Amino acid sequence: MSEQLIFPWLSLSVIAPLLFATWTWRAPQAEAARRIGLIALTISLVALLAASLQAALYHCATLHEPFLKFFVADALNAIPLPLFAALALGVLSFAPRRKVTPHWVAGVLLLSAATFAAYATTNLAVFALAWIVSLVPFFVKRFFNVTDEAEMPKLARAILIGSCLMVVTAVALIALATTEGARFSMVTVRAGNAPLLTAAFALLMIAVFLRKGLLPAHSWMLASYERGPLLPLTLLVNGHLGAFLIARFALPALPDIARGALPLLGDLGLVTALYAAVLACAERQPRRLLALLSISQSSFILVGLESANADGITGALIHWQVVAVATTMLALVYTAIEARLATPWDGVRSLGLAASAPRLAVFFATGGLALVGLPLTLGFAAEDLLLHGTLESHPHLGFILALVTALNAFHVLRLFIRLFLGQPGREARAITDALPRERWALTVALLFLVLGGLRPMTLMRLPAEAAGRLAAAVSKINHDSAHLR
Amino acid sequence: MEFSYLLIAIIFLPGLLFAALGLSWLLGATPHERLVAQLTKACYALCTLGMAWLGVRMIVTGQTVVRASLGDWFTVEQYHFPLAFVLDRVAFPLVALTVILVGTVAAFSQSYLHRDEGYLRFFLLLNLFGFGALLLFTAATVDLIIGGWELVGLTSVLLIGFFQFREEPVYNALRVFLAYRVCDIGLLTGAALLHLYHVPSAFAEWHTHEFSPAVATIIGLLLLLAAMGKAAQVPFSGWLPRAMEGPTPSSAIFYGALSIHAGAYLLLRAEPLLAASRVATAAVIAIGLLTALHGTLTGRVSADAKTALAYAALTQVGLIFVEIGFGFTRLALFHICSHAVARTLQFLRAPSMLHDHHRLHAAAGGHLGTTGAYYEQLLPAGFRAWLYRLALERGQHDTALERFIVAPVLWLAHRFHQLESYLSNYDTPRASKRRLAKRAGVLASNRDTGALQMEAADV
Repeated sequence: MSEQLIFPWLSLSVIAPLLFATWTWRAPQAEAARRIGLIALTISLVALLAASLQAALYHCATLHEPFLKFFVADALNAIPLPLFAALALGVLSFAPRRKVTPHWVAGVLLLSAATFAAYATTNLAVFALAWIVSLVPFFVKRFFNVTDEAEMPKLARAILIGSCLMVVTAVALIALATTEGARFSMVTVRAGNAPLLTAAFALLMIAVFLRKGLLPAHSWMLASYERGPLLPLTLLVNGHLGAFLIARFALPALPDIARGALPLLGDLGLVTALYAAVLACAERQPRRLLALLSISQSSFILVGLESANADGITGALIHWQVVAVATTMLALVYTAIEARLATPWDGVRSLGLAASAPRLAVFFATGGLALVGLPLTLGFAAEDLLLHGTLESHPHLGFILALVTALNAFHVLRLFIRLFLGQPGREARAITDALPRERWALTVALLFLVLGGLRPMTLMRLPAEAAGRLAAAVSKINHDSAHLR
Repeated sequence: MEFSYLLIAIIFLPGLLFAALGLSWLLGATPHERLVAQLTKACYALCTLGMAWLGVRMIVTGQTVVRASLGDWFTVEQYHFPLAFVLDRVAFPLVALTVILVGTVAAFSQSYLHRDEGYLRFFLLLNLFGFGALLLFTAATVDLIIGGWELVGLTSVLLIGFFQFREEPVYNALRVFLAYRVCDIGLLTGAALLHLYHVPSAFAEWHTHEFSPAVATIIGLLLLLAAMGKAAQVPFSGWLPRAMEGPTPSSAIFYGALSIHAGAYLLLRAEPLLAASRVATAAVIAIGLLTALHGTLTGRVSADAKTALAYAALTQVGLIFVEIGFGFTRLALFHICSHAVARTLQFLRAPSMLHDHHRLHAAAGGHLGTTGAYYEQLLPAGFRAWLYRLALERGQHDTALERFIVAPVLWLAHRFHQLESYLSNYDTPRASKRRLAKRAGVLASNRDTGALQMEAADV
């Protein structure tokens, strides 16, 4: 089924932040730039909500844009698109004053526009371009105003540049392998030269491996979280473009190759999740602990996608939403605390902030526990589906998944205790609780997790539809190969 | 039908009260102490009246089971998560106990925690616990029981760390949480394996389902692991004395009345499955016996009243496990109810124990005899001394768990950490290297003292 969107919502959502980014770049004051950025992201959010609503009303059909046909709204991107816009909006409104500069706002807008484009496109070349553009603000020092100390480490830069090279080479190989006009669309890729396509697929998987930070490429995330700009990094990581690349291009376009290769990526995801959870036992540095929680929990997305059944894939897509919102909540609260403390916190002594900032404590605890599957939150539904899907395909892996979740829950509580409980010092007593603008952003995130947990089908219908299609594509290949045998 | 609506109202009323109080606080309002207590008491009084009405109507109409359903929570192709509740002869006594005892504890706490800065937090958590316990005891499926189970565990942990400015309660809460989460793996994987082996997740269908011994053994042992964690059975008993750090009313409702019996309730529900596996049944009996023995020995050497009471409760829960293992389910249910009521009273009176003793002493004319020193004399002196030492060290369960499970994990974590430190410093920019060099002295001393590992207090 192929219908049209009634308005170029997706183009608007990409163009608005791009245009406003150039405006904010020259804005005289940070607060003026923030206001411009908020307008741009609000336009994007409204446009994306309209596109998603239309996709939902058209029974999850693939809706093309009137002009740029490679932009579509469908069951797969209908939730991630507005969700990412809302996250970016939350980050921009929440960011502490001392961090925000006009260039910082421009960086967030550029990252957002690139991520919207990546989610919206069905053309691999456009996706590759968006993949590269989303990383640009992290390589140009002026965007996030990083000092020498906070500069992204060379290893991290090498890994991310490597991922870009892999995607670009894969696109080039697909161009060689296919001859039709729309050669980068999902449908035409299938009919190409098999060896070249296999090589392109391998390169795409390596790109995913690098960008997702799977073991041993996870170091870039650890080092960047430790020293880099935390909020933009959280946005970058929560774009989950690696997982989206698999769901959008690898599974539907090359299901036969994907079926053979994905188990390796899924196993690697599980090993990464376990490694990060164990490593976190010896970690005290709060930013690194946040990175490890993010790495460990987001690796489950790959495990769910790899299960290749509807339960597991739906679990992965819902878990994606939970990880994105919950880890952003944790990063927001931690950034607020960091901005309020006069001296950097070593992560060893307990701060005892619950007395002076009880609401920040509640937001942190709820976000953290939703991340690890607290009942009455969306995380519980995601964990349940992931566990069922994974056990169905690999019974032994389900146990590891439950173990990793248990360890991560322990780490969340450990960090919570260090931050909020214990005897408060003089500095901690003087800290203010969540400001109104912070409280609203965090309340919206909390309501998303809780209301989503109370009525998960509202958020699950579209991902379940997308998961059903992906699982059907893979199972058809299995069926065909069994028939051939 | 009217029963179904009433049952749903009883389950969700404490949850709604928690949501209303919590949301109003988040938005800036701080409800008055008296309002919070009155609302909570009214909530549980209504629930108690509702249960009484249900009980009378069930007797009059001869209905033995009330079922309620809110449809499917979520559905993905063939997989459904039903929100189904049941009130049968296993659930009824525990639901009635929950609404009565939580209400009683709320009334007790109104004066006990008066002007405590955590007053609202306590009542919020008490209501969340009430909701979790009602969800747990009325869940008609294993999947739904997980929700109630985890809420009970979480509120338990948060109330252990109630006195948040003291280090000890906070770190004890963390240890209890770790024990809970590790044991919950059994419930999570057990529930998921039910679907894999095509076993219905509704408990009611287990009575007619033909379990293969292998499946019954695997799932039975996983559920037993979960029950052992929640009921503090050997070797996971070490968390119980740590849990006594919480305020007395929460100790009463959690470790005297409801939470401590949640494991036994799970086994009661899983009785048809356990009956199909000799291995699982034997394991339940053995664990229960060992725990009863451990509880009675350790309770006798405990120096403080609440810990002694906790170990006494542990002994009884161990015996309940044995009863379930032997298939005496009615006896086990009766034991749970009577024990919960008696132990709650003892816990609530614990702060006044000395006062009570003096009054009794005076009433008896100053001639109170010693008790409990008879059976020990039957044992040889050397063996008695060995048992005494073992009891003082609480069976060395914590030591064993730390040495054989926690220490290897920490060793591995430390090796990973060293590798990561090398990787992240390998290409650190020069300015950062200078900054790191300045901190090197501090880090080096930390390393020497093992500070890079998780502190012993953390686990």
